[in-house]
Amino acid sequence: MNCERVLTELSSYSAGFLQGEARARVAEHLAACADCRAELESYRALDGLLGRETAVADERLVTGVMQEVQVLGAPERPGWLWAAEQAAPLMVLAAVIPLLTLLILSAVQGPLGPSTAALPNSVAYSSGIATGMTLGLCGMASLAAAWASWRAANSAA
Amino acid sequence: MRLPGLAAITQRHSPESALVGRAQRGDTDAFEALLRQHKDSVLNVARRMVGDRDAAEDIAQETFVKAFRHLQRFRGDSTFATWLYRITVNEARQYLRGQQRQIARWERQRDLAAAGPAEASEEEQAPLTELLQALSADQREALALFYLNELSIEEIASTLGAPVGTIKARLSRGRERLRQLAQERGLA
Repeated sequence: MNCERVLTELSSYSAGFLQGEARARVAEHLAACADCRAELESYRALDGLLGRETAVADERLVTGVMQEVQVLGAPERPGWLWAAEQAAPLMVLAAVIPLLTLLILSAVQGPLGPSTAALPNSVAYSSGIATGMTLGLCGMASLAAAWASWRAANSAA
Repeated sequence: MRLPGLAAITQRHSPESALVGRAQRGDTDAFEALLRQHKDSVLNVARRMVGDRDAAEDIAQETFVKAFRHLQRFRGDSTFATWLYRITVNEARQYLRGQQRQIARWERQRDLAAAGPAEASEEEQAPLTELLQALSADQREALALFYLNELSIEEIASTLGAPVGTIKARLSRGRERLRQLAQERGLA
């Protein structure tokens, strides 16, 4: 590895982003090259200087925030929209399950509709009831998920 | 719904999570303790992003007020600090967008008004922090969080909503450019 290549990697190397073989190659070059070591030192010096340039927040910030907090009194309770957003993945799942159920049923019994006429009445009724119940349960699960999410958020209040 | 990772589970049982829980129930003393614990790091993220100390203080204040108002939305999926930094970054972005609009207005009116954008306050000038302003907004945000020395790259990526690889690239290029600028100005 030559100096030019190492210099392009030094920022990543000094930040600890280079791993494995790439890191070992740079380290090997650095062990043998004083110029590149000096460049590495300049990164460390920069990090040290910036790390030390820290501000300390004075009491005004605390007083200002706490005055506004006292006016607000308590954190706001999240609304239904936020709860629905949190429960969105469960709702998607609840929508996918009935679709899958319909697909499985149609694969097992043939397409629903006209061909069900060929099935014995008892089988057609059971499959219709099963589909309806699955759809109903999934809908209820979806609503329950949204409610549970809203409830969990509000129970802390 | 995201499943809680190990970090989230340990976070839920940390002493800080007890404070967060009390604050969520409206205990303002608990919130004040959290505020005192995080005020300096929030101020430093804001200052490194916007450059100006007074503006950074306003951003920090708005960050904590917003955090209190929306405390119920914090579910412990990340650390409380990461959640706070996310709000800080959003507030700072909003401030910078406002600044850009203001500068555009000044440029349009420069024949009428002699005054330019407000200078950074004279007290406590931090030359390298000022230099950060010469970088792109993306690089500056990543570096502002990186120089807190308390967040992992994954946490920085999660705070900024970008992939880990992108954050590493922004940090590497940003540090390279910053070092170059610092050397040009005899600061490092």
